[in-house]
Amino acid sequence: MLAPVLVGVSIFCFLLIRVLPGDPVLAIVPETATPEDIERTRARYGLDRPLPEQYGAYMAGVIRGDFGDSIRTGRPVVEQIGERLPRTLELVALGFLLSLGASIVLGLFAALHAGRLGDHVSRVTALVANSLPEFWLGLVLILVFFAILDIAPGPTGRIATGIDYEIITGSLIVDSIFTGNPRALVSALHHLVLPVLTLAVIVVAPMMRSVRASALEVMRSDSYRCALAHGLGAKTLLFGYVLRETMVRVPVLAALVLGNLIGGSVLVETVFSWQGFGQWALRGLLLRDYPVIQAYVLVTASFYVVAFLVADIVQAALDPRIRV
Amino acid sequence: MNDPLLKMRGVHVSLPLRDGAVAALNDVSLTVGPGEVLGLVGESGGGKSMLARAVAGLLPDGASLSGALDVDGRNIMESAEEDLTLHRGGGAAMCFQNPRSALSPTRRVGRQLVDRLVRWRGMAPDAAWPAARERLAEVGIREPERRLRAFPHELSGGMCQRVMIALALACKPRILLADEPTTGLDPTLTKDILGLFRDAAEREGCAVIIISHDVASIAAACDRIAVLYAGTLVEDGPARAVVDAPLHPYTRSLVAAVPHIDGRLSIPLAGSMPRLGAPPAACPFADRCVLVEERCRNELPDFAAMADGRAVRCFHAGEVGSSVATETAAHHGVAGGDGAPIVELVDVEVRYASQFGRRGPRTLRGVSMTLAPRETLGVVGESGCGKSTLARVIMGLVRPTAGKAVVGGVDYRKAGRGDIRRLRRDIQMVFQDPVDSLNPRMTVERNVRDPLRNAREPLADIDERIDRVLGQMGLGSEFRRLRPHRLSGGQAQRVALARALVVEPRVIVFDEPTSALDVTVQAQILDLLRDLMAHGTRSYVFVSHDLATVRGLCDRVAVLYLGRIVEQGPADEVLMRPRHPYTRALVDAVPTLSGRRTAAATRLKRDLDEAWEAAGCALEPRCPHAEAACGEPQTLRDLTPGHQVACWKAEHISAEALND
Amino acid sequence: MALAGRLRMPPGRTLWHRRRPRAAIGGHLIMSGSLLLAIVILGAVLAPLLSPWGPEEIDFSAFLAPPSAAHPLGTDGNGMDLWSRVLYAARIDVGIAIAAVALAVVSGSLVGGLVGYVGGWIDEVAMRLTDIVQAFPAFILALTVSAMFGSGLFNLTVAIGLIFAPAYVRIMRSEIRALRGRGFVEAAECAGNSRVSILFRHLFPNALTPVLVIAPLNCGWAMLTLAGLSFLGLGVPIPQAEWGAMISAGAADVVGGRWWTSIFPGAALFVSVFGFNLIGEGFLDRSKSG
Repeated sequence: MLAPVLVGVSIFCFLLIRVLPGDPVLAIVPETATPEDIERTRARYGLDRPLPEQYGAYMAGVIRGDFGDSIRTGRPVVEQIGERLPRTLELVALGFLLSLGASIVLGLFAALHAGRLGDHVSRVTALVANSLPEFWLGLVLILVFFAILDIAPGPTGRIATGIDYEIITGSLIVDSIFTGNPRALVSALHHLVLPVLTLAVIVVAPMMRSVRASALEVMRSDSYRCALAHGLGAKTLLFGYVLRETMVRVPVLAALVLGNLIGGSVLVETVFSWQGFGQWALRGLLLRDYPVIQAYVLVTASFYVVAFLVADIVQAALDPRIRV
Repeated sequence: MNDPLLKMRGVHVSLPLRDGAVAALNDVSLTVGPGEVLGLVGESGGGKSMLARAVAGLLPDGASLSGALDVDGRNIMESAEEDLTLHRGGGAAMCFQNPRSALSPTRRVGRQLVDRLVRWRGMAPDAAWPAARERLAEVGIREPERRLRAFPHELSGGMCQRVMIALALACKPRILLADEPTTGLDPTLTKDILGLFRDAAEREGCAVIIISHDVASIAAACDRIAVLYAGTLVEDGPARAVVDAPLHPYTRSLVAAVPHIDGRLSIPLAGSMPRLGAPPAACPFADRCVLVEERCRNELPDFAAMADGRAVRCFHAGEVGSSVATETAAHHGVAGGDGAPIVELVDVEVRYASQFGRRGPRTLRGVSMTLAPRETLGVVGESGCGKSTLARVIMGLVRPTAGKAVVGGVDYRKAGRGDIRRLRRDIQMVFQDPVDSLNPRMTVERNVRDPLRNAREPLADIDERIDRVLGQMGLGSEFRRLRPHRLSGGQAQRVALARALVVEPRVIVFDEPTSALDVTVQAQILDLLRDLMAHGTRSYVFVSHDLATVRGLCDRVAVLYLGRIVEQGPADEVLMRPRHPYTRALVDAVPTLSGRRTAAATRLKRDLDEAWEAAGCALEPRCPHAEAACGEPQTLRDLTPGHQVACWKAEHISAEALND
Repeated sequence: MALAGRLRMPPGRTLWHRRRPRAAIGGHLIMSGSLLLAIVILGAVLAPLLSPWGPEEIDFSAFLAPPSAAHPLGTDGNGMDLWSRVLYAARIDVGIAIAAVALAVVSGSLVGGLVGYVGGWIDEVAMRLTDIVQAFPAFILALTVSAMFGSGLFNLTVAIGLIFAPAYVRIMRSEIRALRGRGFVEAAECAGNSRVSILFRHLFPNALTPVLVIAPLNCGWAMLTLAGLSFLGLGVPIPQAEWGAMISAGAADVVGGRWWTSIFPGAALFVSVFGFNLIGEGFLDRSKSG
């Protein structure tokens, strides 16, 4: 499923952005450029060739790991991906793991207290969180924790200015631990708190809902009733008869959530001036920077597809009835 | 006898439901001793399951219970919290109705068994594994080592039931409860499973309660039988005596509703069980009772003890005779039929694409048969033998991958969609699960109207027709507006019958039409079918695993095994003097109320799911008479005119059986 | 622990009542959600009566003014009254969200129903296409689609509808495939129904519930998507009153402590989405308990 979907995505993307109004060449040539200059620039990026040929050349490059050069900056796209992607992944991964953990705990809690106060409160709270626009929630958090309480850093990026750090992987946490730089680590974590929280809060509800529904279904099932009727202890019941069966349905939804987080990180990045992958793509989109948009779409789609692949594997590991 | 393990005195259970309370159990007094097997029978909704749940400590939320419920001499309703947690499992352990769904799907069978052994027998987890292996072997599971590591979905239905029993017994219960343990199992398996309960009672000394709606299937395995009606115990006594000479009119009706392989007709009990809002002040059976008199409607009879350890709740207990009316089926059709056959299958083969084979193998491998006008053909066999596929081939729902299928002059292999749709006027089908076979979004009326609508009948006639068939099925006009989920199983099957009849087809195919129904409801539906068939203008195909029913209804029988017909002929011939070893095994496995068995009963060597693909006779791996020559493929041959069998040894086996 | 207590035997009493089953809260959720939405919609409809200012009317005496008697929610950097802008914006946000989801429901379930029933290679191709659309980042998809046909509220609606349609294709398809094995479908075939009639008269009505149940949740989500696009400057064009664009316009002021410009539109957006989510959760509750 992997390859055909990605090829489909790339073709779809290639066609879509070329019907966009706006000519990227006109945007980069100086106003004094003659028609000959324009044609030369067009030829430089291969935009004068027929579409199938452009696509073929592009994909041939992609297979070699070459996503072309940015029309706007002239820099290789791969280089920019290497710079931008780790920032976003760090943010999204932390936010996702936080919300996954929270939703499993909350979902089980709600299911165990089904129909009682704890259930209602946790569900409605998750629903409130799910209704918050993330870009607005980020602003509210900034207002409260930076503008009013002044205990969080302002929305100015990923690390306080004036701190030296070395870049290896691009993830500040990993790099600062790697290079033994506690000051950078603390500052990076400090800057991560609000955006990670923002991302995590908004996606708890769907996953928690799924965990709760799945746990309830298990607890109403004949197999659970049978274990209960045979007097097994509470611990055996929870870990042997509820947990694994409940988790069976979580991976696929989690993959969907993760895919949406990566594709939708641009909003939170914008609010916190994260200068991540999403913001990079957004600027590329506004400037009609074809190679940038194509690379962004391909990379995001790959993550999406891989997330589902992993989900399928995890699900098969959890549920003996499914064969990979 | 020792002190009883279970002693219930005046137990009441009531359930609050959205539309008012239900008195689920009323003044139930019952004792079961150690090593004793009690059969608890009655129609569904009669309180059997509620009684089991009360004993097991599993009443639903909101249920209220009163009276005294002693287990092993202790009133569990008065004991402390800790004792109660000990009661569930160790006091009473339940075998759930549908074992496949009652086993945890994501935990290995062995782990589930070990969990219970550790909890109830104080074993260390390591020591419990060998013990678990032995316990699986005890319940008749071959290769227990391998099965311990299996997940429930890898086991067959019969094996799941065995595992379920092992799980319940691992709890070391004082009382073992089994809720409908044999429902949905093939008769060939039923006897083995019931035997396990007998063994458990003897070996472990526990009290066993087996719940069933079908008195015939469990009678032979029980010491005593208790009958529940509308949450009220109406009769209790030694199994033999209750079955042979029922004292209560309700018990009589239950026994009479059972079809007999010897052709005796089942006698339906009209009406349906009332749902009580409060404990009854009068006999709850009065409305359906033939012996009813004024007193029955005003007073509740005592549960009076009689001689020989029997008890009955009826004013007329003494008056009810012990004889059950016998009436033998009068066959109407002419076997062999006259005129050109309306259905003709020649070497039909069906091979399913394995991709979506969720429903398991339903293949046919070269089936030839005919159905004459006004003939009723029974198709029997174990589940998975291809019965349902055969029905679907006749209906044109499944296209044969090879061979010829001609119905009403239309050759399915050549016909277009339009031809087959036009044929629907002439051939209709009634399905196994009646509620599932009705469109849940449509009212009864629209469901019945559907085939007429597609047949494009003149409009004026339609409403009368619908009224007429619904009336014929005993459904009043109040049913027309109802949706299927409001109907009981019996009512839904009547609607499905009405839908099949409304276009006045020439053939009706029944696919196990009564197997999802209670015995008493089953008898009502069979009665309707008998009336239909008696008019003798139509042909029927009756697919069933219930040989007794087939005997009562059909002119001719075809016995299917793994997609092949192994024996066919007149119903009386085939079912009373079966020649093929497979047919013999099926016939011998039919539960009989009398409990009598022929001395030389044929028993197959393996369960169906343990057999392998044989090169020659398909039955060879399971056949007790198999020998080297059975490695040759067997084809149907005439034994007597109209009676065919696919076994070269058929005559010899008859001789052997006689010599034994 | 609660787990073991669910079906516990009673403590020492001869006559006892078990805990009554709790009522599901689905009904309450639907009621309160509808109430919230009713308020929002009423505000949108009655906007001209509730505020003297037009949505794009500029008060040259008050730029970025905090809430006051004249401007209950203050004004933004252009001197436009926030109260009336918040009210008028509901027309666009709620309207587009509902229209987009309706479009997704109709188109998605038609396609999903058809391919689920027909099966075979058509089904395969359709599923791969939905894979592709779903793997495509939503904001790029929405932008390119609306840019392709020219921007405008209608095209924005179509674009958002396209984002949500694949989910309905999937749900409808799996419902239809599950129903295809049910007895009443075989019975419908035996009753002489044509394939079209089986699909539309027998399958669709029975498959619709799970599709409709998730529609309110998606309305909330669609509204967030629309506001998000506008926040990025890719949705509703600037002077028009729309919550996401208003939040974006005030974002810089929030950091400086002038909170009202972003907070009020965001709160309105949150309340409307919450309304949809409450209804959606209530529907889910109902469909599971009933």
